[in-house]
Amino acid sequence: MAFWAMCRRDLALTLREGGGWANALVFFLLVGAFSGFAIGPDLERIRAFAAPILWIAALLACQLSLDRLFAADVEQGIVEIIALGPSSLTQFVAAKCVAVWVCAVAPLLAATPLLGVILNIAPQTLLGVVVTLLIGAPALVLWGALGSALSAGGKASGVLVALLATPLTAPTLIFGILGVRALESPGGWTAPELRYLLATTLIACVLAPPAAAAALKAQID
Amino acid sequence: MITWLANPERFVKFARPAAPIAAIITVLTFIIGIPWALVFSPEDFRQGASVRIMYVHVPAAWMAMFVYTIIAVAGFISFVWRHVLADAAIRYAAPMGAIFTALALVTGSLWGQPMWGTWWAWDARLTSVLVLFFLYLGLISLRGAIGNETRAARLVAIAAMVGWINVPIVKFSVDIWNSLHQSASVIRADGPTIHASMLWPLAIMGLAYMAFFAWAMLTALLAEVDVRRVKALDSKTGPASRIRIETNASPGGAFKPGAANG
Repeated sequence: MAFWAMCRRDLALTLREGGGWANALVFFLLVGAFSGFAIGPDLERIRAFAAPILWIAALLACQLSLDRLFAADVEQGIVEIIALGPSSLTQFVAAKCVAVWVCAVAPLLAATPLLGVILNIAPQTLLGVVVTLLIGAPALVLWGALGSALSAGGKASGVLVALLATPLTAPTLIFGILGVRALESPGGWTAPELRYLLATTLIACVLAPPAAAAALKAQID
Repeated sequence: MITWLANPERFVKFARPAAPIAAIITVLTFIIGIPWALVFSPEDFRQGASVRIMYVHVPAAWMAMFVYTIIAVAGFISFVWRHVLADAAIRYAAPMGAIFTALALVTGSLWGQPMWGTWWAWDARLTSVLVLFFLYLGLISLRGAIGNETRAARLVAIAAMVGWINVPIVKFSVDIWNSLHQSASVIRADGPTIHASMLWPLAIMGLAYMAFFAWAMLTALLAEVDVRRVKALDSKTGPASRIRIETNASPGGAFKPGAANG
């Protein structure tokens, strides 16, 4: 299928580029560790801030790994070829997002317990962070992909992606943190915050790929 | 109305008289509104004179949301019909919307300091207006980063529409966030009905802001139509025709037809 072929192409490109996939992970660990330095050695204070730090670090790392997501494909004419072919640009965007999730977000999720431990996080909170990131991270990737598609032909890509995508991720961040707090209590699994978090991801799933595809179409017109 | 005005000829016919009317309304409402709001309106029995920030703050907040809605509608028109005036409307409205939003945030902060005891509260309204401000900045810098005008119009239209969909979601999420985790600061309940002696100056200030925005937008769009006409003329006859006229008219220059191009 064309969709999986596009996914595989992106995965192969990212993995063969020599450590490109690790950028987001290293950035995530750096932001987490430096927040620790900034807060200081008081273990109780670090514990209180651990969940927000993990979420912010994940959010920033997602945007960072997305700033050049479509730039090369627009410059090299790949987008034009796909637009001419049988599969839609929306599919192409979705395939890109799946590849980003596998290459950048999955390692980041795997490293969350490690960063959580050095931030002295409570086990129940750590579970909450991992669960909410599992639900919410796709929205971060999708909005980042939209920002990247909008700024693919631009001059100042990096900061522009953050400026375009970050406001769109505000609801996901808010409900993500609320979900962590809800999961700290015993009956948290059915909390409405988790459903709202899922809703922000589903809205991003519906809106971001077609919008990003329209933006890519405008880039090649 | 919008389809009627889509024709640039009709738009110019409408805007030429409408712009001075908006200008007159702007000047009159500010002349009446500012002294009324800042001097003659009654002081609040609890807030004292600082309640007068409201007359600057509340209309700015209205405009912040109104201008974004205008931008989203213009974005839709620009995206679907590729109308150049709709795109120009986004280009001129975005910085103005950002300024209104910044004004609402700054005056709100100045009002919050004596009333709530803090410059900033992570309250639902403040937070969603702040996100709105970032959306405006994103639109402005996206436009700045793209050289090709047609492409910039398409991309900015997409960003404007998606941003508008985000506004109610942000509002909704911060509402829930706030209701679950009540801030410790004293947050003014937006229940109390405003007395007529305060409502009237507020309404006039709101009208003044709105008329100012209409005036500025109409003037900018008229200028845009003129710029496009000059460009169309250039593409027909070539810019050389204008340049030659200018060189011929320069004082002291010898009249040599065609020499300027040689």
